[in-house]
Amino acid sequence: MTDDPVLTVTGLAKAYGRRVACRDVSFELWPGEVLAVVGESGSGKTTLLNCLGGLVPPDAGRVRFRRRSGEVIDLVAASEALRRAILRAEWGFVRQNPRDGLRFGVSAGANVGEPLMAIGGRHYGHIRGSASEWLDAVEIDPARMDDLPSSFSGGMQQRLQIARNLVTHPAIVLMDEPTGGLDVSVQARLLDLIRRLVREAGVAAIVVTHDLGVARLLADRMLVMRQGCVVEAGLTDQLLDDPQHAYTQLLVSSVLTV
Amino acid sequence: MPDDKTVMIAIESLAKTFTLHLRGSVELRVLQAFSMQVETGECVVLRAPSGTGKSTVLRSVSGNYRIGGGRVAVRHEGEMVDLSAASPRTVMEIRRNTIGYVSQFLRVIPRVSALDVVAEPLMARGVPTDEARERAGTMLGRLHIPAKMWDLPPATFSGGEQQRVNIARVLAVDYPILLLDEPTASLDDANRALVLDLVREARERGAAILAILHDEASRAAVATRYVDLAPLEAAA
Repeated sequence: MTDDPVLTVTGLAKAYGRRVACRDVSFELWPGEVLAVVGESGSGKTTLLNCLGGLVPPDAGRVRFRRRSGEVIDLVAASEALRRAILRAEWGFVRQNPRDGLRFGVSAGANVGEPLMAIGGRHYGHIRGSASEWLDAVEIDPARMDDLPSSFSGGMQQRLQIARNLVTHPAIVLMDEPTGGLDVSVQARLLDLIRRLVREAGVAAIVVTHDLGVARLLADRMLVMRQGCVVEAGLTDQLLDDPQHAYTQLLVSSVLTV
Repeated sequence: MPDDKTVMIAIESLAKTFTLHLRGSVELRVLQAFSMQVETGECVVLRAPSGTGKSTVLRSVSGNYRIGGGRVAVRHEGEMVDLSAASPRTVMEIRRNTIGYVSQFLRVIPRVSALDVVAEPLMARGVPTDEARERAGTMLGRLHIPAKMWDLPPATFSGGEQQRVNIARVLAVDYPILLLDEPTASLDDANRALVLDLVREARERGAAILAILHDEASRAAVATRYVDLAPLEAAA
């Protein structure tokens, strides 16, 4: 484990017109660490993720990312081309809706193989081999490699998205409500898988969720967001068992069991 | 405080108050000016009536609760580390390498087998998977969890079985510090004796142990010293 964070976010802000979505968000993320971002709908957690993932330009702030080469780049200040190249090669983004994160017009195998080609993979056999291994890793029968994602269940589509995002061995994976809309047994399977793969791959993850149980299970640390601000941050179990802020106490007391 | 290398846990004037914002910010004072130390090779049993803050002391030392006031330091890799000033990452490292905490209940993880639940902390410390699983199996065996149950997730186990998995998970690692919150509460006599044997072994290898044990016989079996926690006068 290294002492340098892989990601240092400072003063990130985003407003849509007069409505503030994120205000002065700062945090650090270390390699191999899982950070949960929790809060109710409209708290700004998805905007935060979209700013980090390059989907939405922030109004202010810095997102300093330490590349594999050791070079530290502020993704906000970087050129569009460099930002895209870095996000493609060294980041993954598992979207809440598989329709946003998968390409439905091509096969499952192509969905996993494409990111490898995008970062320069050329050998068809190797790409197909990697795709097959990753389908297996996310518990999709590699025999279904040539099937279209639309023939998959919701849980399988989410697992396919995870394979598509981990195949390039990214340093950071963003996940937006990865278990949203799935029934509990499918959720359990997906959570177990994410937990295992994140640990094995040593990838750092930022998981946005409104489910404190998911945060408890997956995350080392947690940010609690409300009205665009981080109101509390710290160790997941400490925040859940000894919440200090009134809003965190409300969140914790509002769930049946965590 | 002199840097006595045998001191593993140093609690000085620990205070803890819970502010319940949802109930008109009522304040619950649980601990005040509580001080104690635990040295290597000791098993100190905290005594006090229920609701007096025994678990709060353990949770404060484990980093599960924030230090309300005063100072809690633990010896981590040779140095005393002040938990109130430690970063979350330092606390995570202390939990990985220094402190083993047996909570009152096992937190089950969906789909993860009993063997892997126990092997996990070993693997987090860098023990290779095969060796970690072997040591996990040995510990489950010592706690009389039959091998046919090792591949099952503990969610369906009885309370006593879950508690033994919880204990195995912590005692499979030779942590320098152990925090035990009623480890024998849901066990029958035979299983209680097994657990107390393991606690005694840990103490004999030099672990510093801070424990909450309710029954007199269990205390007598492992304690080297008692600390009484005085109830605070009811506040608010």
